[in-house]
Amino acid sequence: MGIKEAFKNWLSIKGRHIHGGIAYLFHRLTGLIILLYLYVHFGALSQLLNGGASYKNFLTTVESPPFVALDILLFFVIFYHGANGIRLVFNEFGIGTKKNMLFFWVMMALGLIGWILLTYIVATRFIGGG
Amino acid sequence: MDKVIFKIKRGTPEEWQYVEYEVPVEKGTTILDGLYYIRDNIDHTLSFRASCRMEVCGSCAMMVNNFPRTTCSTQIENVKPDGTKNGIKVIKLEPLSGYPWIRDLVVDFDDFFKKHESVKPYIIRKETPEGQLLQSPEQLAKFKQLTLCIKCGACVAACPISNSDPLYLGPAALAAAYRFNADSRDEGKNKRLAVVSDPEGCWRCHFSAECSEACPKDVDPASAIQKLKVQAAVFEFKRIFTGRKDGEK
Repeated sequence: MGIKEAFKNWLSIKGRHIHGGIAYLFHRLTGLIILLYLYVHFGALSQLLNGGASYKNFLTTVESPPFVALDILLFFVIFYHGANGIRLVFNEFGIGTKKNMLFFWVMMALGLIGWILLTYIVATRFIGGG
Repeated sequence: MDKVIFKIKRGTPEEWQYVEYEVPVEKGTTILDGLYYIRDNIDHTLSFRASCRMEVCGSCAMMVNNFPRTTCSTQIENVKPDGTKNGIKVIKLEPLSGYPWIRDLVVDFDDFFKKHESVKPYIIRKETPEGQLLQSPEQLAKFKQLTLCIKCGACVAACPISNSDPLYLGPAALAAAYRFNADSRDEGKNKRLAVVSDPEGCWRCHFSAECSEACPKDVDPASAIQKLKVQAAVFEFKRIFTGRKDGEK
């Protein structure tokens, strides 16, 4: 199997179940987004090397509504990855594997509640002028 | 009599195309019945693998509308169509995903069986037993479901890891390893764990659990692999503390 075919297979959905192959694919993709964000985050922190004033200016930019909206999307990615990841940790100890679908949707519901709460807090703090 | 269109991936890896065939359908007609109809009445050159026609031999698994199924036990009326053409239901048939393709609907199972063999899927005893090895119903219940595997390979075709990593042992072999590890008559658990506790063994499974969804016999390899991971983790701790590669005390 060549690299091209392996990568195509890596991205393809082999199953048809949301709690199976689709959840698995999204877990991989969200993991990559979080990894990418980690480097962006380090880049942002490195602004401190240019002095406090420069960092403050930078913060003013990233606290503007378009960036906050991106943050909210990032929270969605993190909550999905976290909620699904917790399920997988339990699953990999053999817990909940027989009720996998139910377990998946319970964790998604918890993740969604967490995301909505955090979105509310962030939106009122940065966009709502709180 | 109703009709259905089989859209079959035909040819070899070098040259292939989808070919459509109209197949008559009655209540209870299976996909495999349809394939035999094509071979007997329309195109004698169609290649597919089948034998028992009763979900025992595991030969006839293939991709039915992008999902692996044993075609002898898949009735056409129960299959959600891949589309319609002139009002006729279309069912797409392709060779099993994740295996080297030979031609038409036939794939190469050599690697599948080599991996299966590598996990030592048989009872291992330190000494030849005298008489029968008795087992209680409770002891049998621990692995009985796993004995139903017919080696159809559908689990491997559904697994996203097997499809992207040819070295991964795959759900069938790993479930077989757990089946014998859970058998009270067996004394070769550590020998098997030495094989499966490997980056390309049970640790490569990330629990997409599509193998269990695809299994026509409800063997549930996904759960078995997770239980195997727990065994493998204990085995690795023992290896560290005993310093022995086989994990024996």
